[in-house]
Amino acid sequence: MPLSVHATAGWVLVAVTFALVGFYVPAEDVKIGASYLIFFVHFPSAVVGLLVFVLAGAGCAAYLVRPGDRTDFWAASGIEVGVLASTITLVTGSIWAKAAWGLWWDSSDPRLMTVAILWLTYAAYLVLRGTLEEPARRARFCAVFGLLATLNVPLVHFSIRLFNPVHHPAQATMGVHSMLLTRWFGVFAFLMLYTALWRLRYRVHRQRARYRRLEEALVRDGG
Amino acid sequence: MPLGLTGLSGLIGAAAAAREPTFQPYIFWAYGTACALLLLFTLWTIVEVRHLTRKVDELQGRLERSRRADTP
Repeated sequence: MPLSVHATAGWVLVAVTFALVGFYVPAEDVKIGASYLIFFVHFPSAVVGLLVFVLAGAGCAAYLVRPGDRTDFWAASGIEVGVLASTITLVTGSIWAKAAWGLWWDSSDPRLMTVAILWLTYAAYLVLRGTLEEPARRARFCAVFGLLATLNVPLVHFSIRLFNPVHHPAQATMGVHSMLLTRWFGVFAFLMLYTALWRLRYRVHRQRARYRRLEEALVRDGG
Repeated sequence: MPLGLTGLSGLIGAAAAAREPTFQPYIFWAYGTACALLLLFTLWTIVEVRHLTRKVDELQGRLERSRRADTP
């Protein structure tokens, strides 16, 4: 699929999700009122973000097995998109927490804390990537770091089952058909948009590498 | 009497409604922030890709010109 079509489709699908939230799902939930509507942007970002991190981790592992630009760029661009997704998850989650529980952040909640640690770990990956100059060394270091960071993803997923959180529910009760449909449509829409952004970021990394190579060639040629 | 009851229940209802939290600002900020972040990230990446592509084309041109100049 051409990238422009992919990105446009992603944006249109996300807009459709928001329209479903506005006009299709019930305006209020029995337990937590209208604040539950935040779920339809929070959940898709969280699910797709974790998926992206796992796939980027696979890229890191692939780089260590067979080093090459493609796997390095795949992992780096995936982690950039994953950080965006988890930023949206954290921000919308915090706003929802204030609306539903009356507090912006609960540091005793394992789900919240594991996601925050995940975000910080991947932010550190981006810092590491920005500080190392030599491409092969940067790719190798980042692959190891990215692979280790992926170990946190199952911990985030299973944190609710392992530690019994006070606030964060184990799963959202979506009794109404329209809620279920909007939930999974949202996941599909965000998956489309995030994968399009992933491809765009991949292009950035590829162009950066080409630029660097051309610069080196020019220096060699004395131009 | 019925009028008085209606008035009283109306007042109680209004008081209850005033106590109920309004979620609209939270929903607005959650969706607004998500959209803003997504939009900024998309635009930033598109601008970066275009900028890099232009620079790569420019360098490619320079390299070709320098190689052509070097060939006897």
